[in-house]
Amino acid sequence: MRNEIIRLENVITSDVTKTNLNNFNLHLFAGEILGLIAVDEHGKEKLLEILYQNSSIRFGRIYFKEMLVNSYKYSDNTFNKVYILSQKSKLIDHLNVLDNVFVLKRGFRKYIINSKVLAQQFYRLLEESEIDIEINPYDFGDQLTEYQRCVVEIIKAVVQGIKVIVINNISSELSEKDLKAFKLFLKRLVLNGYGVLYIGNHHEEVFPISDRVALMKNGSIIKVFEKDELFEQNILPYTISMDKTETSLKRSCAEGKILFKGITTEYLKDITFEVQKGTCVVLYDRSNKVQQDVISCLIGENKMNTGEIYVETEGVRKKIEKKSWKHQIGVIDENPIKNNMYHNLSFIDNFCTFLDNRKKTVYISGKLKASIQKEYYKELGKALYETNLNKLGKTDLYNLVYYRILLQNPKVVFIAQPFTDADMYLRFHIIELIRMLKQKEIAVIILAFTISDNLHIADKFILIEEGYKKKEFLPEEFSDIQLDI
Amino acid sequence: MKHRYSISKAIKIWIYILGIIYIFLLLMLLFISVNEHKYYVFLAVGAAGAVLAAYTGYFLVYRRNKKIEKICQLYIEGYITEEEYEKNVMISDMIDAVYKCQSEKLDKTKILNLSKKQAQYLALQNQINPHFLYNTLEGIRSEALCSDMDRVANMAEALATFFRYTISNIDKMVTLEDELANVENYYIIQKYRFGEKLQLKIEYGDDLSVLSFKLPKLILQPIVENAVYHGIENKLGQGTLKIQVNYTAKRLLIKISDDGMGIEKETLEELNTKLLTNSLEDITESKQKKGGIAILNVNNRIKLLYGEEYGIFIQSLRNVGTDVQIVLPVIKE
Repeated sequence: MRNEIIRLENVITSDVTKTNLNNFNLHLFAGEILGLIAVDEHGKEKLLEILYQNSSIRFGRIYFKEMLVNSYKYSDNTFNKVYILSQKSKLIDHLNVLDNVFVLKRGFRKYIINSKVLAQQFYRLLEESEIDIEINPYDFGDQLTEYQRCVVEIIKAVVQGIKVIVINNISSELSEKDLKAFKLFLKRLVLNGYGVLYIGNHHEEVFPISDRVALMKNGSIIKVFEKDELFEQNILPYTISMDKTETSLKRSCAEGKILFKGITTEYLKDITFEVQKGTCVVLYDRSNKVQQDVISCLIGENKMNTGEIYVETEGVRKKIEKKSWKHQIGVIDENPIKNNMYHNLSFIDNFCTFLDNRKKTVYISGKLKASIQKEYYKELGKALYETNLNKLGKTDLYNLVYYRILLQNPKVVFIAQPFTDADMYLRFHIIELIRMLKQKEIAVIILAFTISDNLHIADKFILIEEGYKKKEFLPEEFSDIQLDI
Repeated sequence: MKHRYSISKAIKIWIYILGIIYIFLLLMLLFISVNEHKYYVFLAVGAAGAVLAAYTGYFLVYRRNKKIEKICQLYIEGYITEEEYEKNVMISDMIDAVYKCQSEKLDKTKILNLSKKQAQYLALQNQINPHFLYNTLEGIRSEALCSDMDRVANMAEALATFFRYTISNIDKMVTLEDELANVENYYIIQKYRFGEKLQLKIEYGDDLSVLSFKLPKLILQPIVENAVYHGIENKLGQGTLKIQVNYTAKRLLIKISDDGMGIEKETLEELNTKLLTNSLEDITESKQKKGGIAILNVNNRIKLLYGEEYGIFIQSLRNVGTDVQIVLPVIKE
């Protein structure tokens, strides 16, 4: 007999304009990790909401430990024993770990707090979870690394008596190494009777940890894979193909390359590699340090210790001076919708942000904007005329980010973790956008700490360990990458 | 005489008029208070009146009205069935009496009997379906020619057992073991027709007590039959049917999967919407739609016997396969 913790049965929810969850059926047993892959984002937020709180639903029933807690006939807005671990921290920054874990617990009624006793309890909980991590219980919430924060939040949930832990897309916050350790921690956790709903966008991430995996699309569960069905070929019919459809560049057009020679930064040590125009190189580092290091150098936060960047065309090598980096190197940060946008500006104003590279004056005339709108209307459509970015979907916003780079026309563009938080359709779209940059002869360098879909667009894969270049893989060797890493 | 407004709308208009009169009286009071410099009288009376009106209005009228409107809306959309008749909506004593009378008239056993009849009809149809008999006899004949008599005997035995189980006592409760045995019998019969093309796997773990759980008769076989005819028959190459059994403290969970042709998206949505509730719709439709009817029929029987929280749900993708999830209550005795 299995102990069922949560069951959603025929759940239909809707807001004013659309249906979120559409005949949604899912159940989670105690002691299992149920993977959930959202093919699209439709209804995901609502699912998290109704798991946490018994808010009104249009149809269906929700059971917690086989007791009816919410139905279309009656919703009492009470809270379920569900903890949602997401990218945004739920810890209070200016309270230490002990306060966050123990003092903020509902029902904690002590007037004199003995930190030593609480610290002992905290260490005991850490020891019981057999996790290899060092956490200072007196550190403040904002002093913790992402990995520490995730572990502390889970311990907080355990202390609160939570039965279901929802892991919502945290892979982009953790390095490959930390993610592996965290998954091991979750596996040990469920042995104590907890249920974990592990939400991810990619089957490569979700399959290895899960006992079952549910696929969600258009607000419904379209398939549940059992443990013995968790193979890549089983999920392929439910996904969209991301295989290469790009026509290979004519080498005559794409002649020329960018050379990175002896690059040494705070983390990187004497890295030398080259990238052909119109091709894509993935710099892969499991520790997530390359990404932060390179981006901070490019945007001028940190300095590159040694090393030069050259452009080589027809055998003539020309150095790119640091002062002209801004004009010749494009940067797309991780999660660009959040990090690379001015949400109080209109679409066209955001679109023209980098135009000062090509136009000397700061002022961009309305006439020029109108001309740009006319030129890009075919690709970007009505979104070009939108004044409020919040009204646009993710596809339009990613179009803005990538077409803006096209307008900037740099020699090389650095993209940090391009597929973070993207559902399957959006990932496909991002691949198309990166292919477009390649077609326009822009060299693309992806800074990644997860392999994800990067191999679909990569022409070269460089493995970095401890700051040193360990190995280079060409497309015909990509199948060996999994084995090597 | 035909009235312009419904009674509820008329009540609302009347309340608005009362509200306007109340506000008018308050203004009068304000005017008097200002003249006599006694603002507190106005404030106290006005605030107390407003709080009382809001409080009583919310609890006595608004919340109940909302609930009734939600039930009506769901009923119109077809989500609610007979259970709502059992609810006391308390509009007025007279209307409630009418409501109760109406619910008695809707005899839910009518649907149950029709479902049973439909199941018997399908069973009889199996018995006399010439294709079914021809294919089966053809199998027996070819086996008689090509092999020893043992196998023919097995086949005949399987056929006899299958018919015996299918036709008798349709409303009887059986054990899961009996149901699975019947499915295996059906598989043996179909195996003579499909050969290695058809494979069956049954998984119920190490806990054998699940086999003694009771369930209504002929819940699994119609769905397996559907999977064979609509899923695997038209598929090129081998097809596998998988039955997985699991259970919790209150629920028996049975998943019947096939890797056959799958169901078109629109048809699937339509079917799943119909499976949300039980109804007479589709039960008496033509035999061309037999596949859908069999599932609807099984779903109707489950919902009528055990309530709307039990039943069937389907997940499917064209050219990939179909999973039919059956949820039943755990009945040990």
